[in-house]
Amino acid sequence: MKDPRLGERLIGLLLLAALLFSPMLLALFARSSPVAGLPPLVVYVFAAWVVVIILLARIAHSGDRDR
Amino acid sequence: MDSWLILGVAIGYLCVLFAIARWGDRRADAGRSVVANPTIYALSMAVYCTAWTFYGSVGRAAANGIDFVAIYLGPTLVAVLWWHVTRKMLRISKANRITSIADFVASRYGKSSLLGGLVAIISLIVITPYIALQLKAVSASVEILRGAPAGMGRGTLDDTALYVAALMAAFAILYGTRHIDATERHEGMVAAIAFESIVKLVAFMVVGLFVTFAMFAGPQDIFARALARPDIAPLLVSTGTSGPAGWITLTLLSMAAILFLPRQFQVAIVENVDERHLAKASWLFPLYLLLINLFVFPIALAGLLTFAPGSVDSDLFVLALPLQVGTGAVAMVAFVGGLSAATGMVIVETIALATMLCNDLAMPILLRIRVLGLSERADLTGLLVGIRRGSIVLVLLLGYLYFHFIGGSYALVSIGLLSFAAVAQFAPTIIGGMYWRGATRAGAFGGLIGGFGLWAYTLLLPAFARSGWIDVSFLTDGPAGIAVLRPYALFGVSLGDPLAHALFWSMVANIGLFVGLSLATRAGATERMQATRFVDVFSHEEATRAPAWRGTAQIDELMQLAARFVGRARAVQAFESHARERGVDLRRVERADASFVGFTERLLAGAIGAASARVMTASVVKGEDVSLGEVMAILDEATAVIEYSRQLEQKSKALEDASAELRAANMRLRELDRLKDEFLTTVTHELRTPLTSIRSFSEILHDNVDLPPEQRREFLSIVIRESERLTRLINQVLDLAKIEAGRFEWQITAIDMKALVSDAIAATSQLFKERQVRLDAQLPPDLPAVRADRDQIMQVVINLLSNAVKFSSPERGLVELALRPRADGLELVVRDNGPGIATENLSQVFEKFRQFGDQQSGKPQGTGLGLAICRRIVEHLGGAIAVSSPPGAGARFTVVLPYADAPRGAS
Repeated sequence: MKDPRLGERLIGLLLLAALLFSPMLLALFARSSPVAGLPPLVVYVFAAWVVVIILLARIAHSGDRDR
Repeated sequence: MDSWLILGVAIGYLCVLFAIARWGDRRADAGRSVVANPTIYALSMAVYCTAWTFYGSVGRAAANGIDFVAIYLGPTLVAVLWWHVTRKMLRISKANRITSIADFVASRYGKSSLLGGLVAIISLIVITPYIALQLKAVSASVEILRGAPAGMGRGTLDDTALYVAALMAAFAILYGTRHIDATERHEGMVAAIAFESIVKLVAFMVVGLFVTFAMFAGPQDIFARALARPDIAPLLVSTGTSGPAGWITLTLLSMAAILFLPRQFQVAIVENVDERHLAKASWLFPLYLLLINLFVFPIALAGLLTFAPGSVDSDLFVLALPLQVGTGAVAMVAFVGGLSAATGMVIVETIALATMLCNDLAMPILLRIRVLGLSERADLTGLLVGIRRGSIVLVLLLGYLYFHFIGGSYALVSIGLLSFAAVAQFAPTIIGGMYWRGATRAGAFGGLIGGFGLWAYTLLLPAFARSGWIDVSFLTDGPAGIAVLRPYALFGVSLGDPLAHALFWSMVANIGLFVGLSLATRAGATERMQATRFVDVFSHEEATRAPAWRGTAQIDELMQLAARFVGRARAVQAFESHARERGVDLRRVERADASFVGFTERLLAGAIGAASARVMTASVVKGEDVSLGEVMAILDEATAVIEYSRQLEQKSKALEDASAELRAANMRLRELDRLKDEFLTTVTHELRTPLTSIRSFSEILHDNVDLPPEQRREFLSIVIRESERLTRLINQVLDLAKIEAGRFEWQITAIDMKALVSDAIAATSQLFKERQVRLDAQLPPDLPAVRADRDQIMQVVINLLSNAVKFSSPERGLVELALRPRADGLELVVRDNGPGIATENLSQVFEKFRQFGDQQSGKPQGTGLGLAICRRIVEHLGGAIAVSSPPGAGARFTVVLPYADAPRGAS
């Protein structure tokens, strides 16, 4: 946790996550035409979740790599 | 399935838990902690996923669609904020030895036992149904495994819940109350909880994979079939039946829950080993949440597709689906998973609540009841352990009773959300207290009571009404038929979701009262101190360490006080290590200073809570508390004042330096001025002496025309000599002035000193002859050249030689001259055999107009400027001139001039 910009990067990620999981964006995917046989809403929610976790891991360990 | 088999598996599983906890504690005692790593930390945090997650998520997904995910997206959002919020909570809690949410609130708002007690009671009220929910889930799962009619009806004759509750109480007592100081971690418990988190994740994945791939042909198959069913398809395309407001509410509630649920505080803050674990745990924990939710939707849809609507409780699809196809083993895995989810939650929650009840409710009350004489009892550690254990039994008993008498009627998820909404009421008080210095105790009180009251009115009472405890007309028509006050639609407005409605109104009351009362009231002394300690925990180390105590106490008394609550051995150990840290010898010091008193208070806070610790410490400390005025002076303006005074200090230091320089310069100027005046006076005086003599002899010659010729010549020769002296004096004054003003034109070259000295000897030979003084010159060959101005050095040498002649012994005059090479330059020594110079005058011979030879002849023999000029010349050329006068050996002048080439080595 030595990254000097860690704090602001995390706030940025929080804003992004709040946007990704907002009802407005979810409503965009609330349709019945399946994506690869799966409902788009479910696919979107889990995909967005994975993206947030990956970004979080990268930011949380960015200081470690620099060392 | 056989009841005994189920009971056997359950008891066997719990035995494994006991074994792991025991192992974890042993490793901790041996100093080889198993829980000190971020992965275990993240797994223990997954105690968030209870039986409610394990069974209830599927139930909610079957009823509402995707919105169950919001309950896990909230914690993901908070995980992003861990570095900001949780890290701060960690720092604060460690600095103040905080043991629970109630303690956190009490400590922040001036160590108020009333506020701590309020939070403890609210937590107890809120968490009891939540624990009941876990017991209900376990007993329902046993029932369905035994093949009893599906559904979660009441009337478990065998009362599995009771056995489970009893076993969990035993576990919590064994592994949750080992230490009195709750800031010491329960490593065995954490190890067991982490193990449980793995079990429930694996179990849920096994069921999910089994349902998706064994019972159906993969997720596509399930979703395709679900889309084809008009009654199920809407679940896949909407964000939940409660709309955007419901989604946002769920997200916000779960954000509050992950921070403020007593069990989350326990695992995330109290059991934290190292702040740095937050980094890795912050993404491992959301990853865990994602994985455990991956198969929720498939299982829910599979359940809806498999069972006729209403035939099986959707909360139990996880068990019912494997049983439906006769796979007892998978159902047993699911049962163990559910059991682990329930026990994990119950164990941690009970321990957290027991600590809270003991430290923030029982102890403050017991210590205040004088009849019990607790304040005088010598050892209270046993009592503390007893209270904690009693609290554990009490909490579990309450949970069991709640489950037994009320719990049958309400779906799992609803009870859980009820608790979440209540826990969210802590958010303004705690977050506000962490970031806003102006938050006061009155604001916290008002906010908590207002928010909790509205929560009870809009959620708890309706829940009672739906359970049949209160007439349902309370819901439909409002209390006493007043429609405006209907609990699900206050003032006639319903947001479409009772939860969103309740959250809105309770937060309006909570935040409104919290902010309003905080602005309207003034904080007390302790409160301000604590406010700064909390808000500025990362900065202002000095300010946060400002002494909270002004009086002093005997170290012995403090130690005895601590020993009563934490045990003798631990108290002595803690005191000694604190003394070592501060470099104090305990045996030598009797009186404890403010820092020691503060340390004792924190030590006690870990055992009996902040509020009681303050009261107990105050009983020992003599002298007043710090007054409000002082604290304000110390803290409120501390930030600004510290910064301001530092700047001021820097500025005044710079000013001081500048004025010192000015003073020195001024003194130098005054000195120079004085010297100039003195010089002028002396020069004038020196000029007047020869002038007077010239004038008087001239007048004699003028007035007495008939003077004999010899006398006339004698007088004329005096006039000539005095004129010469006058000329010499004026020349020297001019030279000196030029040298001092730096206008003298130097012609610096390499000079052969031997030749120069020989010339000088030749120039003064007439003088030597006149006075009959012998000159003994030692001029060795091959001397290195020096760097100097030839004419000036010649003047120096002639000056020294003529001085030596003048002052050498009148009878057998002898002057010795020598040139010697030295490491730092060429040395010229001129020595006479005269009377020498008195020691007190040695330092002044090089000053202007100092003549020390006058006493003998009574008449000045020189101008008094010669040596002064010599010194200026030699020093300007980078050399040195010195004089010494050993008694009876004449004066000895030494001139050292630098070599023309690079200086020689020391040899």
